[in-house]
Amino acid sequence: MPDERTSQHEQEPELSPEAQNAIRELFGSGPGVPPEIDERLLATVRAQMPRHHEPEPRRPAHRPERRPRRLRFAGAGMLVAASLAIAATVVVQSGVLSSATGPSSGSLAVVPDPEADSAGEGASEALLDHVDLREQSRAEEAPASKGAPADSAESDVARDDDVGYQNTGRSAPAPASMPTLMAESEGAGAAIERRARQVRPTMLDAFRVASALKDRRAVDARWDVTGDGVIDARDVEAIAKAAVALPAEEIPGGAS
Amino acid sequence: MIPTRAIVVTLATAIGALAYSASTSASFRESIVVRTQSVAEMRFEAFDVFIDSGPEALGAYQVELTTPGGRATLVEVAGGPSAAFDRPPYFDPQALLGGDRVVLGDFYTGPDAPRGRVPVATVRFSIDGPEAMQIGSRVMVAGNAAGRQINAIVEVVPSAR
Repeated sequence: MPDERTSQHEQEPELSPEAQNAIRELFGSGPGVPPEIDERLLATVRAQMPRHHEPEPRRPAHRPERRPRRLRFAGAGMLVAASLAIAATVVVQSGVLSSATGPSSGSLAVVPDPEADSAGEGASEALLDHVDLREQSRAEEAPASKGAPADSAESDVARDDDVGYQNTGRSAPAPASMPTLMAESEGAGAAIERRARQVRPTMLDAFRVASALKDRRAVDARWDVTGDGVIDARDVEAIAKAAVALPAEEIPGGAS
Repeated sequence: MIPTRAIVVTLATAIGALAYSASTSASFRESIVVRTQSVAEMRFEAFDVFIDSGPEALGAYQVELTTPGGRATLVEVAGGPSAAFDRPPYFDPQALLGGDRVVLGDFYTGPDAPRGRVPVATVRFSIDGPEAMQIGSRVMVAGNAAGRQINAIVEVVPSAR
């Protein structure tokens, strides 16, 4: 304890005797305080006051420095904002997905669109899927007995002026309602699916193309729905599948 | 005293969880409904589809079948006993997932196309409940062997097979 007092006295500047006398003359000597009480008071004050003169203990390495309160609130606000943004993104994405989902392969419904014919380069993955599935299933069966155009010269199909594709030749213009469902690259599925929706061929169209192929008559180039430059059984398949395809809004889980 | 950071993190997690559950609850409900359908209440029923082309040779047909009420699900499409239309007709496989409509169609370019009442397909449905199911039908298009559109009648009757 004497050491503490000594050190305390060493740290506190002493008033000169002249100044002490001047203060006593100004305020009087005042009541005397016993040294024990003075010591206890000092000890109590030292215990309660922060020790400014002692070196700050080292903070453990794993414990980060406490940030100012304002910064902490700013961090909390950013966290809340980020959470809200994530929540909003999830909600929006789920809405977009629910409106865009639905098996696209069944989305071959239709409204005529004159722009469809000029696009020409797209491919319908959906349509191709139909083709592939159907071809696989039918390839296992006898392919030439019906349906697909056969090479046989047998023909029970008569020429008919009502049939748009007949006698037109590959370079002749086709009726405006004829589909142009080019299918060259699988990457442009959306474009061709849109175009497939724009025109709905019927099974009668598929029959007419198949009959023309079977009879080796010219078929309008616009029936090259697969876009491979050749009108063949694959095109007939694609036309037939487009004819029976359900609109997306009728497919369970599809776009509403 | 609970730290402010803990409160904020808890609230943020709760908001995120609510948003996620709201976005996925619909699909969960659907899958649950599908899986909780009682097998005992299901039955299968087959129907034959006939196209009556009258005196014309049937070259192509396209018909629509509807099953209003949501109790029936298409499970199988087969060809008819007719030699010309003995293979399964074209239809959208998406119809097997549910819905109340399916379009069937096929064509025949071979010789001796059938005339009159031609059995072209057999369809089978799984039906929920004991009540009889009504199937709506209509001809969308039909053509004769020359590719000309003709008038035809579709008939759907319970299959004897």
